[in-house]
This record gives sequence, structure tokens and C-alpha cells, in this order.
Amino acid sequence: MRKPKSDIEIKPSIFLIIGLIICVTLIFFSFRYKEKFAPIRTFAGDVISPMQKGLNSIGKKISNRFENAKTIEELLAENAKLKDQLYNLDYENKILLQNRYELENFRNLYSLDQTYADYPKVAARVIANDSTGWYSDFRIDKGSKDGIKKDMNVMAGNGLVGLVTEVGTNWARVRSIIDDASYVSGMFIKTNDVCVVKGNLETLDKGYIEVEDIIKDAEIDDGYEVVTSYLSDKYHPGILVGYISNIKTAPSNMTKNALLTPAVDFSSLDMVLIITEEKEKYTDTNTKEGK
Amino acid sequence: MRKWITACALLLVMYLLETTLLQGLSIAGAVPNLIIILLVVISFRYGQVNGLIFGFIAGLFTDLMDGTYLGLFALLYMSLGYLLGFANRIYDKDDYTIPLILTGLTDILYNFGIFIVGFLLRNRTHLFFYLRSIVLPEAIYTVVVSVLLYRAIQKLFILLEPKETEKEVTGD
Repeated sequence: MRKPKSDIEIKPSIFLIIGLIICVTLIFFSFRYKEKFAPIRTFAGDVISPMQKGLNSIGKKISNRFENAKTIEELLAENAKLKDQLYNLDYENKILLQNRYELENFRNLYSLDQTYADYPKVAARVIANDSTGWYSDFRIDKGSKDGIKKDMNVMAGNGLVGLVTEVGTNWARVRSIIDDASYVSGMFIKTNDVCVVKGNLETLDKGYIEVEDIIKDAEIDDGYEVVTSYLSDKYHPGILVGYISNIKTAPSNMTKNALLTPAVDFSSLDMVLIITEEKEKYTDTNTKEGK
Repeated sequence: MRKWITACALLLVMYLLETTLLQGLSIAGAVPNLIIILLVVISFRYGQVNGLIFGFIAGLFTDLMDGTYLGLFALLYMSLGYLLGFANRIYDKDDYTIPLILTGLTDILYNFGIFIVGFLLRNRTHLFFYLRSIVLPEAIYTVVVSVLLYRAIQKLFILLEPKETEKEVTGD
């Protein structure tokens, strides 16, 4: 861009005004015609995500190197401990398998719906986080190629992580439930009372997110489990969200508020599971087959 | 031209580092904002117009990757690039203190912008909490990293310039 210098100098403020106009129009149009802009975003993600995946795996390798530097004695001790554990787990597993067989029989008797545990899932690796410190969303290394679609539920371990918000060919963006703007319709597994679980950056500082709109006479106590409710339009019912504490009556005196400790440790999220069954489909088959 | 190719390549590198490797090195939840360091180098050395253009590019890129709508980060980074360009009048390539102050201030303004659009408008009003737990840790971390990076990036840009324009700092 080595243009010949013109005699008339354009003031920088003119550039600023032009830039501001461009930005405001862009904001307006991308807000109004979100779908039209989606291919551009998908393309950008398709190009950048493989790089993020590569860099991320390099980072993993480096941190693994540090862990490899353990001594033989440590490893032997750990091995002995693990063998012991394996023996115990093997025994427990046999008992659990028996119980499972019984449970399945009971389920068949009650003709209960399948739980989320039976849904097909795809494992994905977290490859990049949001560049700002304000939002809790991240990228995973699976996309539409692997059957991921928007609004699919994301889990880690046995707890809820969040929702897929954007999908590219080989990547997807996930907004976690601890994000400040996120909310999940939940319910207490013991009392069936519904509530709303809201992400809050301020309480997250102490490891909690918020629970709101619990009816006033709900008989709940600290440590009760909150799962996703049947009312939710995006989340499958019954996925563990977390455990409540600090129950208080809301200022309006109509409802109760509480804090929730998420079941998932969001600080060290590495692998996640995406339930590749969408909620809509589930409710469709449910109304057809149920009852 | 070489300057812009380098700037865009560095932008990509900075963004990738910020979202992947540096996430593992976060302190108190803060990750340094490397793009701001790059913006400071370019605006401080090449003036308002260049700062503004680079800010727009960097913002649009961030919008594509991390934003929901296009244009918000572009608006923010562009305005910051323009404001930083004012400091070009006192530019000296051997001055390493003013850029650090500029980096800190820019990062605070940047996060303040995000706070207003993304949080204050949704009735999250505890400014001091956010200042203490997000804005300041990131600003401090960014300044510390800037101590190491500013010199290197500036050196790279100086090396890329043709010899005769070395004195002419506002030249395109």
C-alpha cells in the first residue's frame, strides 16, 4: 500500500467517522440477518479451528512431558494402589451389573422413558476458550461432520456443561451454563419443584451460580440435587446440573433463591460429551410412543 | 504492504496463543490480551489512521471468532486504535515506559467497553467487583507480558521497513 503522497491530507477523524458508520451498519445487518452471515463465520471457524487444535495438542504434550518426569518408585507405588483399586472395582462392577439387570426389568415393568444415559453421545476435545475474560464459551474439535447440530446438550462426567450455539464443519462453539447470560430450567430431583439456574460471573468468583424462581413452600435443603427439568425446551430432562446451598427467600417474598455448585469442574474441562439426540425429536417420539 | 501482512500474521498468532496455550497459564482467571499489545505497537508507531485500520481488522476477526454479532469488537478496537494514535506525537522508539502505560490503559478501556455492552446493559451493576476480579488482573498481566513482547514486536516492524522511511514514523 505505498501510495504516492497526495497534497490534501485527510484528517484521521474523517476515517474514524467512516469506520464508525461501517461498524454500526455491520452490527445492524448482522443482527437483522443473522443467518446470512453464518457462512462467513463458519468459514472463519473452519480455517482457524484446526490451528487451535494443533496448538492445543502441543500444549498438552508439553504438560505431559512434565508429568512423565515421575520416578519409578512413584509409578510402582501407584501401580500397586491401582491394582488394588481395580480388584475392588471389578467386584463392585459385578454387583452393579446384577443391579442393572434388575433395574432394566423394573423399568420395563414401569415402561419408563429412556434416560439421557442411553442417548448416543460423541466425545470431543476442548480446543480453545473465549479470548475475553467475560464469557464462558469454548470451542470443541467436532462439528457438523460428526453429526453435531445447534442446541445439542453438552456434558462432562455425569454433569451438564452447556449447549452448542454454533456449528462449523470441524468445530462447534459451546456456551457453558456458568456463562453470565446463560439460564437452564431445572428441577429438584427429590421434590420435583422447578427452578431456573442462571449463570452469574459475580457468584462464580466463589464457585457458585444462581438458582431462582423456586416456589416458596418447596421443601428443599442444602445439598439437594438439581437436574434439568422436563419443561426445558433445549435440554434433555434429568441431567445433573449441581447441588444447592444458601437457600433464601427472595425480596419479593414469593419465591426462594439459592446458590448452586455445578457438578462439573469447569476450570479443568478437557473432554466433553455431546448428546447427539435433539430435544425436539425426543418429545416427538415421546408423545407418539408414550401412553 | 509488508507491514500489513506482518500485522495480520501476528494478529493470528496472538489470537491463537491467547485462546489455547495461554489459557493454561492463566493467573486468577486472567489471560493477557496480546492483541492489545500489538495494537499499541502499531498505533503508537504508525499513528491514528493505521491504528484505526488495524483495530478494525483485529476487531472484526475477534467478532468472527468470539462474538455473536459482527461489528461490536470492531467498533471497540477501532476506537481504541484511534485514541492510541494520539500518543504517536510523542513516539520515540527507545521509549519503553509510555507503551506500558498505554497498554494498561487500553486494556482497562477495552474491558470496560465489554462490561458496558455485555453486562451493564443487562443490569449487572457491581462495577467494582468486575473491576477487581476481571479488569485489573487482565490489565496487570497484559502489562507484564508487554514488558517482554513490546520490544520484540516493535523490532520486527522496524526491521521490515525500508531504510529511508525509518525516520518518517507516520508514513504508510
